[in-house]
Amino acid sequence: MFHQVEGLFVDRGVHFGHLKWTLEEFARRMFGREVRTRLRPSYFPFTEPSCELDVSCTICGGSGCRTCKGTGWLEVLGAGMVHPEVIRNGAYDPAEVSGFAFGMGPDRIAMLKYGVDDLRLFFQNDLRFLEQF
Amino acid sequence: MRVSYRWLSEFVPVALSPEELAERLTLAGLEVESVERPWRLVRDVVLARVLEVAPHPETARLRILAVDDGAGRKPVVTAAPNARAGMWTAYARVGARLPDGRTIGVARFEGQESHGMCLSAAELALPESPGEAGLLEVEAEPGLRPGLPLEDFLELDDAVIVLSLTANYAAHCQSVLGVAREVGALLSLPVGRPARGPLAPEEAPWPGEPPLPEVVVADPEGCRRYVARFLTGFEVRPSPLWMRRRLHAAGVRPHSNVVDVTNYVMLELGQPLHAFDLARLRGPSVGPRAARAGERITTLDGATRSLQAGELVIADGRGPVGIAGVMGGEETEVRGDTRSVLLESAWFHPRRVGGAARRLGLLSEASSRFEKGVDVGGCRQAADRAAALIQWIAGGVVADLVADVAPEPVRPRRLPLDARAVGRHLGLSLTPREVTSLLARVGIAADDPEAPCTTVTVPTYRPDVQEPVDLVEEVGRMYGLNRIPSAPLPGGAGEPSKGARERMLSEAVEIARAAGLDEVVTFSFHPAEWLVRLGLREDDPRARPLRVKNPLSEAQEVMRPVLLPSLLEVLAHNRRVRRPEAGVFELARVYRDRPDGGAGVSGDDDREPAEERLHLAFAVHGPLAPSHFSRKDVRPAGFLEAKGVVETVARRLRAGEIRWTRAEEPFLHPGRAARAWLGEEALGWVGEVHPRVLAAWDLAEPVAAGEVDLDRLVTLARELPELSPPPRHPSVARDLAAIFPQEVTHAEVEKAMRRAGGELLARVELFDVYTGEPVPPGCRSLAYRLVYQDPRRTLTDEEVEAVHARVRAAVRDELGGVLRS
Repeated sequence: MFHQVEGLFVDRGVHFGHLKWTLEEFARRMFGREVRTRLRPSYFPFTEPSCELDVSCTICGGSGCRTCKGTGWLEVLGAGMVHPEVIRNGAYDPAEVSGFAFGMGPDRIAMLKYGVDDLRLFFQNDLRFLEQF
Repeated sequence: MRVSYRWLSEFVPVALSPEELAERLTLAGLEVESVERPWRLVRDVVLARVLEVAPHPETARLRILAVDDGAGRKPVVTAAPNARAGMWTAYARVGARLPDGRTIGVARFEGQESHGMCLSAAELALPESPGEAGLLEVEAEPGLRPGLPLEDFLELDDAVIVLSLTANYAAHCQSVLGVAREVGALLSLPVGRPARGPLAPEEAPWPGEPPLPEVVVADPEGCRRYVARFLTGFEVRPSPLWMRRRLHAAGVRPHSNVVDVTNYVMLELGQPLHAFDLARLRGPSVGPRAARAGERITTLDGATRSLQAGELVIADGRGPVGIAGVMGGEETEVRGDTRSVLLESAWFHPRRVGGAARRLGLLSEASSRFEKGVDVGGCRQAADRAAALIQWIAGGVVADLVADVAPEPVRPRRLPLDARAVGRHLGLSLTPREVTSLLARVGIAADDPEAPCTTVTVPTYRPDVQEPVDLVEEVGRMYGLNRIPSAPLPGGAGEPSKGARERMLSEAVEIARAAGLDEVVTFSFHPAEWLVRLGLREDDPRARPLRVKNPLSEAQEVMRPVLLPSLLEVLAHNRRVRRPEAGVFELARVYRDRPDGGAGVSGDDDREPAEERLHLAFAVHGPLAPSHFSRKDVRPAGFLEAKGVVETVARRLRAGEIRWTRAEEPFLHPGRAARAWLGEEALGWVGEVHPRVLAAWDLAEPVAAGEVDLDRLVTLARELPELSPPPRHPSVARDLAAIFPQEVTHAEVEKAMRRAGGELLARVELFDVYTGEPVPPGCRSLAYRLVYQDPRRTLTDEEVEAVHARVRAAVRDELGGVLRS
């Protein structure tokens, strides 16, 4: 099973700073005000520039543990500025209109949020697990 | 991609530790998977010279060596057959540590003391060369001295940085040089030349034999450039230890010096190379061309392969001698007796190489580099470097004649640059100078670095930079994405809000939870066999579900047309983990094929897509509420509880009163099943699951279940209730009990009562159901409380009696009820 949440924001004058704020705001609301974030350049064919969002490890708080493989960071989602070709294919002029997009797996977000390291637990439907929610 | 830190350091003077460098690379988009230190533990292992070899007095299996480790003469017992006086090898002193963590001490073998140990390649986690058995043999070279720490000599302090490259960096970072360029750009360091060995060979006139073929590129689309260098007179043998160690660290198995050099230069510069045995090539010409249908080649793995027309091959006067970028032919492979080679360094079309490699199942380090795009501007440099290294380690003559065939002149790409647009896209106010200097760090040069609009030249090693937006990425990366200031969206974040439908669905979940059920999420696919277990009739559309064309496994054969089996599986799982009492529900889509059986599967299909409906289903094994000492009569949920769940959901969503009719579902217990209706719309079913079905899931009776079309329910639901003031006039209640045949349903009784009672009959409550003495077998007694009311006035006793009598008559005459009072 595969779950995906995606976001797309298009307007005049949208730039990378808007994307960055949106991702940071998402991270704060999902994982708490104290969470730290960072962006790493990455690659997706439909965005340019592309990046991935890391949040400070929700388990150890950033000091390094098994979940974050000692790095203190957890990869949360992929994002980027919408590729001009995509804007053009949507019948807009990329010189006038720009946008950003992001996508994430809510399964993974749930794992990180609840500190559960085995995705299967969410799908086994063992009531001894489910009734804790 | 595995990059040796020491090798990298030859190109760029990094002052950071491998781990610090890894962190910087990750933040710049070159994700580092891990940093490995295979020789981390090695201590006190030095180079030593074997002075003497003496037989062991007790056993022929062992010998006693006298070795010089720079600090004196040490007796060492060994079983290695290749030990001989004069050889240089690795010696672990007393107290030394090996890569596997072992500490070496003084040991006795058959009465003879061994001070320390002489080591094999494997004991040092180094690659063994073919035919080398026993002690590590270090080739003599100037500067060797006993006692030289092996860490320095063999770079055993090296770390391997393991990169996981995304597609955009794959092309230019698939080499030590490429990664060095990135490091140089990130840390503003100069990128130099490799320290080991010469960059260009010493050239000489060709001795004449074997004759040099003419190089012809007959497929200019498939090959933009073909460089060939010719070498002769070298000696094929194992390559030096340092080269073998570097190949090994990069994950490449050493073969012989000529082949090792081609791999070494591929890792170093990113250009795959191939060496053909020149004496076995047949003229008059050699070069890339499209294969003809039916042509065959035996590749150097010994397999004979048929080529497809159009696949790119290297052919000589007789036919294909290699599949371009994929694998060479066995016939022209470099062997121990090879004395001259044609060294190929070329640009082959990414898709042509990738296609052939994939079709033949021959993906390799080389094919993957061609597929990602090699530097068309770097073919000559790589050929020169490889020829120079072969000459350096194996001797011989390099011809002063080089074939460098490029059907079209190789020119770097030119792109327009609008510096302000770059800044605008990133949310930065950068001057043209700032933009062009950031680009200069990655080798992209602007014609006029000060001009707002100019043209830039992209180096040929960056095939991924193809259009202006790629320049934005490079500027953002060099500036640092994390340094770009965040900018709130116009209008701010706002608060999450739901539309009417979402609110209804959330409410449905809350209602189901309040009913004592736990929510589950199960898979949309399941085995076809689950539907067979339900016993659906052949004409039931649910028996012909949407089938997955290439299911990953049997467990994912069909897209489910009904949720019940998934929930039974959940109950069965919980029973297996000894949690038999379970009540679960799920909100999920079900899928129906189109009536003609030809549902479209994706957007590029003209056919109507499959029908999807959102269902709410539940299944309960055991009581709905957990047992508790305050409730003595807790009983397993059954038909009535199932009905109650659906009625509660419908009522609380303000969708109206459910009308029930008899249901004939093959998977439900006959007589304990009902179909739910809202007005004329069929909503779904409830009931107790048939024992035959339960047995298939290894469940015990009873399981109460239900499944309704939530899309339909939500459409009929109202967000707000329709309110009316409470009646001002009192109501009057009358009881009515009657004995009915079993097959008469409560719904039928209520319907008859309401018809007879008209609008004065405000409420019908079934308060008792009884079977057994004195009720005759096959019958049951139903007891009702009927509430009469007129909203406009107070009813008189006579009026109530009159209407109640009509209701009694209807029960008796229409349904055959035997009135009990």
